[in-house]
This record gives sequence, C-alpha cells and structure tokens, in this order.
Amino acid sequence: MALYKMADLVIDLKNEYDFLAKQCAEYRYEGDTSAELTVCVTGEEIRRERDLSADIPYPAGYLESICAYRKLCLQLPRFDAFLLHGSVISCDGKGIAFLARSGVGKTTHTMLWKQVYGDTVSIINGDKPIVRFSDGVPYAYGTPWAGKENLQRNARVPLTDICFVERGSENAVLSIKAEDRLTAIMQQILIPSDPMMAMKTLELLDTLLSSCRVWVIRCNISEDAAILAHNTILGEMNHEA
Amino acid sequence: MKLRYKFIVQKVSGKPVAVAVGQDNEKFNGMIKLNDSGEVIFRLLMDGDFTQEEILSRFAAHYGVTEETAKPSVLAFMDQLRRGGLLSE
Repeated sequence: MALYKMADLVIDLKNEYDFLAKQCAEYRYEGDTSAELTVCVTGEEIRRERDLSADIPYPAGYLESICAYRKLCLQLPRFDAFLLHGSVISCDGKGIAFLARSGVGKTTHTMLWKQVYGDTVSIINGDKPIVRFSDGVPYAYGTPWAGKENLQRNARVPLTDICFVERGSENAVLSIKAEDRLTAIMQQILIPSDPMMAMKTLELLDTLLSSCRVWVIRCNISEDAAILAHNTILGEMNHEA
Repeated sequence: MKLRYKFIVQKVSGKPVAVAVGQDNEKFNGMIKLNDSGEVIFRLLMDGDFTQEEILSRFAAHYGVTEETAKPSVLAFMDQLRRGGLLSE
C-alpha cells in the first residue's frame, strides 16, 4: 500500500498504472498515521474518461491520473477543503491566487511575477491547488496536479488575496467585493454533485471569500502589470475601491 | 408546480446561490444567483408541489403584503424560471 500526504491528508492512493505513482512520488508518506481517505479509480471510470476525450488518444495511465484527482477532490469537503482552479503563489508570506478563464493568462501573469521578483515568489500550484481550512485559516496547497508546466511545490501558503486576471490594454488593479465576480469564482471551484458535499463546498467558499481581499487585475501581459499588481497587493500603493 | 431539477441553496458572499445536485448536476450545469425574494419563491418550489396561486399566497404572507402587490414580482420570477427551462408544471 502506497500512502501519500497532500493538503495535510494521508491518502491511500491506488494505482493500476505507473504514471500515477511517478507523478505523486514527491508526495509519498512514510509516517505512522493511517490513511484518512482512499482513492481507487476503476477501469470503467477510465473508459468513461477516455470517451469524454475521444478525439485525443490519451494513455490509460494519464486518464487514471485525471480520474484519481477528481475522485480525491470530490471527497475534500469532508475535510474542510475543496479544489480551486487557479494559480497560487507565495510572496512575502502572502498567498495570492490568480483566477481567470482558460487562455486569459493566469499562468503568464504568474510567470511575470516570478520573472520580476525572482526567489521572493514561490509557485505553490500553477493550476489546481487544494484549498483547506486549518484553525479557520484557508491554506492553498501544492499537489502533484499542477497543469502541463507542473509548477508546484509540496508546501502550503495561507491565502490572503484572490485576483481575477482579465486582459486589458492598460494595466489596472481594482479592489472589488467578492459578489462582483461571484459567477466567475464559482466557475473556478469544483462543486460536487452530492448535496451535502455541495453545501459544504459553498460554505467553505463563503468563508474563504470573507477572509481574503478580492481584486481584478487588468493586465496587458507586460512586466509592468506584475509590478503594479505586486505593489498594490503588497501594500505600497493606493488602489481604487 | 415544482423545479425540474434538484437544487441546494446556500449563501455565498451574502447572496443566495442555487446549484443543481445529484444526477441533475449533469443536466443543469450552471448556478443561479437569487435575490432575497427570489430565494423565498425558489425554496417554495424546492420544498413542495404548489400551484402558482398557492405560491403567490405564501409569498404574500411571508412579506406581509397583499397578493395584488406581490403578484408582479412573483409572476416575473416564475416566468424567468419557466424561460430557463427550470419549471416542471
């Protein structure tokens, strides 16, 4: 039995194919705590996933990996956690999440911060971090699933700021109320179809939004965009309300 | 008259939001943002199988207004749900 630790949870993650075990190698757990949850992907689930991506012949191991993460994430609300689709960095101890529709540029924006601010920026998870509450504090976690660039660290950061990245010809950083982007936010979290888990997820989201500052970052994909965002969020500049 | 799908309603950032659950989550993938009065009607539709008149009557009682006063809002909201394919009549 191979145990892993992700989001401070000990997980019994079964695998039929090597891909999954290799992907999660950095998160192996050798300690004494027994598994808090089990994830086991069935052959039927892999077949169904294959049908969903019929035009691209993904290998079974890759499909098992996608199914495994989804199966894991559907259980997260039991542990005061949920999956967020966004890029999370740690900068000066602050956890900053960049959310955007696909293709708009959250990865690009993340890389701009890294480019300008170097080692003061750490990418916790560039694509699908787990958000988990501990003592009332929302933490974003690195996991083995971090997008095609695999930008992640086996670490966590307390989330303090949620930023919607939107394209714009002029850079701007606006402080907003969460309700101004409520639809967009909800599109970037995984809401399970189980009623109790769905309710719990929304409760956790509500708590997250009341503990973080929320921003819109209008970005023209230049270093100036990252500099403006960094200086506004980390407090050196005034911002529009 | 009731909703075509099974929903849960939860407040997020102070706004009531409805999300389809169970198997219906595959049939209705979106979310519905409600205001406070919409939430009252939506919950009536979630909880029971009332006629439009019964909904109007309960809604009016909830807000302590006459049915005449409540009618435009209730009908407008029901119409929105109907146009969204969310009502099962």
